[in-house]
Amino acid sequence: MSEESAIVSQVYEAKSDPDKADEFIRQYMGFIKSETAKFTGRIPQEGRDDELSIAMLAFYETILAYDRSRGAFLSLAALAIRNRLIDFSRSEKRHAGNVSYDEPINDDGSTLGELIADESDEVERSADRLSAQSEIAEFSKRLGDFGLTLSDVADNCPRQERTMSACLSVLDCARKNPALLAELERTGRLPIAALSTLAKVERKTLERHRRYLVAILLAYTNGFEIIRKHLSQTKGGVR
Amino acid sequence: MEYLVMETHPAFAVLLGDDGSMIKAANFGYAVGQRVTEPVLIKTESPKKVHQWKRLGGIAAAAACICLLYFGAYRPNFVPYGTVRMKINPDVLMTVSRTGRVLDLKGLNDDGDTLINGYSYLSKKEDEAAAELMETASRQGFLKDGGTVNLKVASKDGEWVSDTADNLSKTMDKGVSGKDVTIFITLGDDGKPKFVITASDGSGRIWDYDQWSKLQSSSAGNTPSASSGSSSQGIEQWGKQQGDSWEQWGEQQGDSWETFGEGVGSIFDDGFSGSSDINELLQKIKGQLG
Repeated sequence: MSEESAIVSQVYEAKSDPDKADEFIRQYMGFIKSETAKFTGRIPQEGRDDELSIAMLAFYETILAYDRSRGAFLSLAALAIRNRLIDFSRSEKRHAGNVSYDEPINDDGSTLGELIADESDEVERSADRLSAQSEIAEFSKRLGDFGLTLSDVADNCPRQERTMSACLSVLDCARKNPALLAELERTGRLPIAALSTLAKVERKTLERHRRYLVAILLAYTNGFEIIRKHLSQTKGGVR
Repeated sequence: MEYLVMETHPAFAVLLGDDGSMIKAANFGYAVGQRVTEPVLIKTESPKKVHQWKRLGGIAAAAACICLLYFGAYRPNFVPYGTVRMKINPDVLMTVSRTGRVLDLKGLNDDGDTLINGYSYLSKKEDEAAAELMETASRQGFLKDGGTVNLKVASKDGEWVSDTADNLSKTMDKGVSGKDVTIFITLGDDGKPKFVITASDGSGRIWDYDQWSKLQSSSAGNTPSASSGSSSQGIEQWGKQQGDSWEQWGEQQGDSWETFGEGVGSIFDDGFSGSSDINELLQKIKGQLG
């Protein structure tokens, strides 16, 4: 098998499997860094340079969008990385006048973030984050029982506003009828017929966004207070 | 909008928006449980769909071009649409396109084969080819003075048949090389010809067959047949008879008016003698005009 066809088969595997995608991206980190360096003019550092994060996202987008008829994968990825970095640098120019918290402001290397008093309680924030992590881990595990991953749910999330509000009206309906949420938990299946009738949403819409609906309804069953609170905390949030 | 980081990967993070949306975004070193604002969202395109539409668009455009070429250029010019059969003694069949291009030419008897031997019909119209074949037939001795040519135009399209016959009728007399020839043009499966062209001395006259037929019968006393070889002689004979008849009539009229003149003269021989002369003159005029 030639190198190009080996890459293509890896790309096709990575399209549907996030773990394979992670592995493929790690394998081509050198390429991604090299393309980023061509744009920024310096070697990017993992975890420090936003440009590298953007380049990695662009590489992942290319994996998802790739088709054999579009030519060699790496050429396409290089082009996508460059385009994404151009977009990112343009958007960053809007913040050109702002000073970064992490920017050294004195000769001793102290940053603005260190000088400005942080009024929030770091201990409380850390505890909140740990609680959130724990709840999200549990949520992810429960999704796993339905044969779903968070990545699947994100891929299945409605893109159009109208479809999104249809799905949220289904959620509203399920919250008003806790028996439906209980049925979801008990049977592990989305009660599509009942939800479609009660929420007056087409069955086809529910079936098309089944994975997303399972996740969002699951969040409103017992035990996911932090996620629920997040969803209803703002004016524009879930009703 | 605030997002809760739900899952992290090297290249992306899964974020839950407070509007209920769950999305993938660039991972700027996020940790699960972290709350973030203004993430760089993944650009989701459906390349397959776009590609299929593009491909379908391409296929549709190619199909449209092929249809345009086929129906606009190929079919009218290169697909057989009708036939013109020319029978002198040589019997020849022309296959013709809708635009009148001769697509094929074949002899239906030995003389027909001889006639078309060496003749190039490429890029020629049916009327041009028919006139040239008649000219060749005349040169080769197949078409003689007083001869007849039968042309039969056939197609499923009656309008095309009529137009083609009309075209042929306008140009066929050019191919007779000064000979006295009668050309019969039959449309489709009609038993009798539609047009008759009488051509001689390089000039032709188009007749409706029925009109021509009546003329023939009145001159020859019987209905001329399409295959008759003496049609022009019949017309000449009829003309002579008509001429004689009118000559005789003229002579009779002349005699009659001469007598009338003499009569009128005698009334006034002794001069004008009043109303009796007038009454006598009126009587003579009345008698003359009958």
